Amino acid sequence: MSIIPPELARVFELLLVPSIWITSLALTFRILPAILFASIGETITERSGVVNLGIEGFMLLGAVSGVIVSMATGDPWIGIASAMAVALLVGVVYSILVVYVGVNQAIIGLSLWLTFLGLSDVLFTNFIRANPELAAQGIPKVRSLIDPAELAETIGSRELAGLISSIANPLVVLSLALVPAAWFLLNKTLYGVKIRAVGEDPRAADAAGVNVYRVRMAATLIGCVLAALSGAYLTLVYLGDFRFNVTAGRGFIALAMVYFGNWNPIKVAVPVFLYSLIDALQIAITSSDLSLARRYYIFNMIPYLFIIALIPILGRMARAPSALMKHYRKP
Amino acid sequence: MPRSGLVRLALLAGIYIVILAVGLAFAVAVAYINGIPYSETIRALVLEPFSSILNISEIFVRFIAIYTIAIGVAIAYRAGLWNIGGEGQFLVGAVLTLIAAKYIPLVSPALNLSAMMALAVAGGALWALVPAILKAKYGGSEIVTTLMLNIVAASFTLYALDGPIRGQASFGYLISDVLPEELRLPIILQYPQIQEDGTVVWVDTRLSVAIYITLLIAAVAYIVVERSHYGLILETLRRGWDTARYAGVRVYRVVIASMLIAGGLAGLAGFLHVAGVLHRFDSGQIDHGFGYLAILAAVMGKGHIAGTLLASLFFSIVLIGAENLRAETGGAYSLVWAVVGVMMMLIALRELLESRLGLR
Repeated sequence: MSIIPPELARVFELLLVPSIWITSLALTFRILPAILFASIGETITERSGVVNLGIEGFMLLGAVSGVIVSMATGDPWIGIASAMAVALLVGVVYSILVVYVGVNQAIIGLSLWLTFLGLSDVLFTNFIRANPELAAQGIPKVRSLIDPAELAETIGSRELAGLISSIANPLVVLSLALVPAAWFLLNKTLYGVKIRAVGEDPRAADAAGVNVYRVRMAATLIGCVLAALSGAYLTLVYLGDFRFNVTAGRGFIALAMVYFGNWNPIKVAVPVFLYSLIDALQIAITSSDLSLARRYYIFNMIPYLFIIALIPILGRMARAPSALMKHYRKP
Repeated sequence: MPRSGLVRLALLAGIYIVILAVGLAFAVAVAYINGIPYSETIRALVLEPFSSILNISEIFVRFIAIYTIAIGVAIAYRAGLWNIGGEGQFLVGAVLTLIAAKYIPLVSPALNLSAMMALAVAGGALWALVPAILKAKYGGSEIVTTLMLNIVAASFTLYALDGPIRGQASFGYLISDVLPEELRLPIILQYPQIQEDGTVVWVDTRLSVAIYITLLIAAVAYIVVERSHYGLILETLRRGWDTARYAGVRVYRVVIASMLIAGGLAGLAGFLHVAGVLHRFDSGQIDHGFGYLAILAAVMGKGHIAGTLLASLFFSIVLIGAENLRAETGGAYSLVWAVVGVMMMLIALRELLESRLGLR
């Protein structure tokens, strides 16, 4: 226990090295989409008055279907497309239950999480067992458009080249582009007005001629598909691997981010970025020093503690959609 | 329209039979995909758990852990709060039990065991205090915060196993020392084991006096929640904080109190499991799953202390069945989560069905 102070000193020492920050920033953009897609999707869902607590389950579903399909076809893009398609199918059933039938959103959400927590592992182990030759080839990954090694030669800095190359991944760019797109959808389009209306006052929206159920269902489906994209990104780009509980609570982090961002896509992106940066820093620091790497579990806690510490600061400003988590029954 | 008497009972029984049947069918189907014949699955899940004294005692070993956490979850649930943190609070309780056992000098076994228990309960409660304050003061979702603290608790457990409670003979593994004989809860059940020469020897099961502690707490919780005005206070809170405030309930206090009780009981479960069953802790125990099963049990029991008891017992049986399935056929343990998830989905539908059938 007495070894902590010198280790802490070492952490601060490492934090003063500029290259650690550039490496961490590169890593940040690789970590970011795994939460950002899901957070943006959940923001849209929650603005319509539905809380998708099954977001972690949809991420796992996307992760496992993405991995299996891309291993089977050899093309990660087909994997990503089918991850989204599978999530859409499951999402239709889920959103009918939640939006039309009105089952308890907390219970069905948690049940989806547990179901896919188990099912994804069972399906993946079974797939690997049935196709050992595909398992040997590994998981095809979505590569960056820019090769870091080539770029490093031209600009002369390995860290900077790594940073540019990690941003230049099509999925990273897509996730960043989704932030203003979601903001535009919610605030500048008629459909966005409808989504916000059914989330604030479904009765008034209904009276004004908005089909509350259909709008909520669409918003929920957007959330489901984007959550699956998050999961597929996680396994096909960031980790290149699938294991039991591969998402490790990222769906629940996304839920917290929506709250921190006060249900505004642009503001949601800020804590997501901060969280990713802190996660990247802890990874960069622990991997650059062997004595710190042995105590990885201390650093693992930091991003979660950071989120919890944010609640009193950002929680004051948070104002949820009025009809959040409330089932609408036509009068 | 509300129904009464036999019709109501029959409908309720029907609903549960359907839930159980669908859950079992799902388990059989998933296991079948994984190459386990259906007869094996049914035997392992339905018959095996009751096939011997040892297996039955193991059901109760799981039951103690699940139900002790579930009582707390149920109390919070009655107040409209979700304690998803049982998983982590249990770990903190388990770790603090071992810390107390290691660092508090032995005075008398009863006194030391009480100190271990008190520390475990306090640790679990502390783990729930932060989410409780964040919920009461800032409206931070307790679902998210308790869940994240589970991950923090897992890291904390690794830290403890690598630091303060690292075993002397751990050889680089993250495993604690075994509790000394006098700091274990006494075992109350033995099972017969036939030796090679034909004589019968009675061997200890893992069922300890912990079961009495759990049932005692259940009795107290039953009286407080179901038979006193505290239950009503929780109910007003569930209906809405503004309503509760209007009714004169000190919302802040009740939120904190019910979360503290939930956390404390989960910490107690950690103590009971370490002092009564495992007698040590290692990194393999971190994903124990009792916390999540407890949530399911409380939801299935609708937050009623008695209903939660039956549900906890049920999930303990499912757990033993799944463990048998894995041991005998090499099936994946993660199957349990899928089955449990599907059953919870059906429970979500049950609520709806009940109101449609006029059972509520």
